[in-house]
Amino acid sequence: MYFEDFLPVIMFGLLACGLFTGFPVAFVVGGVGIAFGFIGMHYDVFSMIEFFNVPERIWGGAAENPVLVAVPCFIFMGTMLERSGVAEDLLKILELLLKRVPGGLALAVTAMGTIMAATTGIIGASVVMMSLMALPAMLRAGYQKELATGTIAASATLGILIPPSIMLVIMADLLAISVGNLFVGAILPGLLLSSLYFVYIIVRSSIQPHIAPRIADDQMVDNKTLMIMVLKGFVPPVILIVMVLGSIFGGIATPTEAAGVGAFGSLMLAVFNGRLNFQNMKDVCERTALTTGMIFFIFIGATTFSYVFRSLGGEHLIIAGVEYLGLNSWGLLVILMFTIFILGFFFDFLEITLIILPVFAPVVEVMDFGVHVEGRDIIYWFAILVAVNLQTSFLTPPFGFALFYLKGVAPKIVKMQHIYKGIIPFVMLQLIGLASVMAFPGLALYLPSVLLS
Amino acid sequence: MRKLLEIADVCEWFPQKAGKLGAWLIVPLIIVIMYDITTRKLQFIQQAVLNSPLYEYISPTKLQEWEWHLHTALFLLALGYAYCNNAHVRVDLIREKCKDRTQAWIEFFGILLALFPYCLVIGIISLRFIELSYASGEISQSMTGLSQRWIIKSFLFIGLLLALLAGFATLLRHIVFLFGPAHLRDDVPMNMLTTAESAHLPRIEDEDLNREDDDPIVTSS
Repeated sequence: MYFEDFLPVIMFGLLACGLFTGFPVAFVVGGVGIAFGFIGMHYDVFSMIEFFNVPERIWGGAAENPVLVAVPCFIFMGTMLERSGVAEDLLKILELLLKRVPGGLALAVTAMGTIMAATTGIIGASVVMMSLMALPAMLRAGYQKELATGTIAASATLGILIPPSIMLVIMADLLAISVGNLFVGAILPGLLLSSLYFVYIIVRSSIQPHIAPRIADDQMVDNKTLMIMVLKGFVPPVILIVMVLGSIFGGIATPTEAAGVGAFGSLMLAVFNGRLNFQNMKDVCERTALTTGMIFFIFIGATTFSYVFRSLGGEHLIIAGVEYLGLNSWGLLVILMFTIFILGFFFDFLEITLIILPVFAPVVEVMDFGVHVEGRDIIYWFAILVAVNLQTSFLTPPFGFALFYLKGVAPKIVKMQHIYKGIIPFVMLQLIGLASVMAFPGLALYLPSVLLS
Repeated sequence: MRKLLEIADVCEWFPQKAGKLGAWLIVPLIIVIMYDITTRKLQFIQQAVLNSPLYEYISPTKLQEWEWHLHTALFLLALGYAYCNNAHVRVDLIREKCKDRTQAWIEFFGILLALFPYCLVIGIISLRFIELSYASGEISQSMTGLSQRWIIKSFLFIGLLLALLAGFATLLRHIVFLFGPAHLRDDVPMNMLTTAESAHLPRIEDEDLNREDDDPIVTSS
C-alpha cells in the first residue's frame, strides 16, 4: 500500500474536522473536494482534466433534473402554509376538535405534525415553527413541560419521513429510485409512528390527568361556530395535502407536477383566507430562495466531493474495508444504521443524505437478505430505515439537535432537563418503530406493491 | 479601513439583489407547471390547445424544459444571496462556544481556504463548459425542446461569481473586524456570528405564558 491509497481516508477525516469548525457545510465539502483534487494531482492519482467533469456532474445531477424541481415547490408550499396562518389555524381547530380526549392538546400537535409534514424542509425550521405555535398554548393550559416539549419535538421531526418529505425526494434522486414509490412506502411507517405517539399520549394522560389538563369550559365554542371553522380552516388544507399525495400515488402526476399543484394550492388558500399581500408573497419567495440556495449549494459541493473521492479510489477502499470486516448483510446493515444514527447527532439530514449516502450506496447494493427483502426492494426498505433512524437520532439526548432548536425558542422556565426527560418515551417509541420496519419490511414495501404494481 | 466596508457593501449588493429578484422565479415556475398540467391532463383543454397555433411554441416538452430552466436559475442566483443572509447550514456544536473573535477567524480562514478556491476553480472550469455548449450550438436532446442551452448554463458561472462576491464582501468585513481599529469594530455588520444569529431568533418569553389566550381563530371566523 502506498500513501496515496489512503488519500480518501484523510479526505474524509479532513472533511469531518472542517465541518466541526462551523463554517458553512456547502463550502467545506466543496473546498475539501478541490483541495484533494490538487493533492491527488501531486501524487499523480488525479488529473486536471478530471475537474472538467465536475460541471457536467453538477449539471446532470442538480440542474437538468426534472425530479428536483419538486424541491423549491414543496418548500414554497410549506412556507406559504406557515406564513399565511393556515398552519396555525389548523392547529387551533385540531385543538378544539380533540378537546374532549385526554391529552387533546398534545394529540392536536401530533396530528398537525402528521398532516403538515411538508413544512419548510429543514428540521430546525420545523421545530422552531411548531414550538412557536404550540408551546405557549400547551404551557398556558397547564401541560407538564416534559410532555409538551417531547410531543412537539417528536411531531415536528415526523416531516422527514411522512411525504411530501424533501429528504425523501433527495434520497430517491441520489439512489436512483422512484420518488413516488418511496413516498408510498413511507406512509405506513409514518402512520405507525404517529399512532404510537397517539397511544402513548392518550394512555399517559388518562393515567396521570394532571399532566395534561383539559381545556377550560369558557374556551369552548358552540357547535355551529366550530363547524364553520372546520370548513374554513381544516377541510381546505387537508384537501390540498390529500390532493398532492393522491395524485402522486394514483399515478396521475409526477412528484414535480404534484409539488407545483401543491405550491399553487397553498397560494390559493392564502388568497382564500385573505392573507395574501405583496409583502407576504415577497417574504415567502425570498425564504424559499434562501432555503433552495442553501440546499443546492450543498448539492453542488457534495457532487464535487464525491467525484474526487471516487476518483481517488474511495469507493474501492470502502468495499475493501467492508470485505475485510467479513460481516453478513445484517451485520452490515446494523453498522450502517448505527453510523447514521451517530452522524445524526451532529448533522442535519441534508449533509447525511448528500455526502454520506452516495458513499454508502455501493455497500447497500451488494447486500443480500434472502427472502426477508428481495432484490430491488432492499434499496427502498433501506431508504425508509434511514429516514426513521435519522428522525430518532435527531431526538436522542444529549445531542439530538431538534432538542436544541426547541430549547432555543422555549421560554426560560423550560429547562434542558425537562426536554431531555420528556423526549425519552418518544425515543423508545421511535426505536419500536425502527425495529418493526426492520423486522417486518412489509410495512415499507406492501403499499407500493399494491398501489403501484 | 472604512473604505473597505464601503467596498464590501457594494460587493454585497449584487448577490443580494440577484437573489431577491431570482426568488420571484418561483412564480413563473408554478405557472408553467400548472399550465402544463391543465393542458395535458384535461382532455377538452388538451384538444383545444393541440389545434391552436400556440401549440408549436409551447409544447409540453418545451414547458417541462422551462421548468428545470427556471428552477436552475432560481437556485443558482440564490447561492450568494443565501451566504449574505447566513442561511447556509453550519455544524454549530463547537463554534457557538467560541468567542466572537475566534468565530471571525474561522470565517476568515474558511473563506480563504474553502469558499474562494471552490468558487474560483469550478467557476473558471464552468466557463469552458459554457463555451463548449455555445460553440457546439447545443440544443435540447428532444426534437421539440428548447435551443440555446448555453444561456442557462451561464447561470452556473454567474451563480458561483455571485457566491464569490458574497464571500469577498464578508472577507473584507472580517478583515476590518479582526485587524481594523477598535472604534470601527462596532460598525461592522457581522451577521455570521452566533450572537448575531440568536439575536433575531424568535423566542417565547416567560411573560407570554401569563397573557390570556387571545384566540384569534374565534374572531376570524
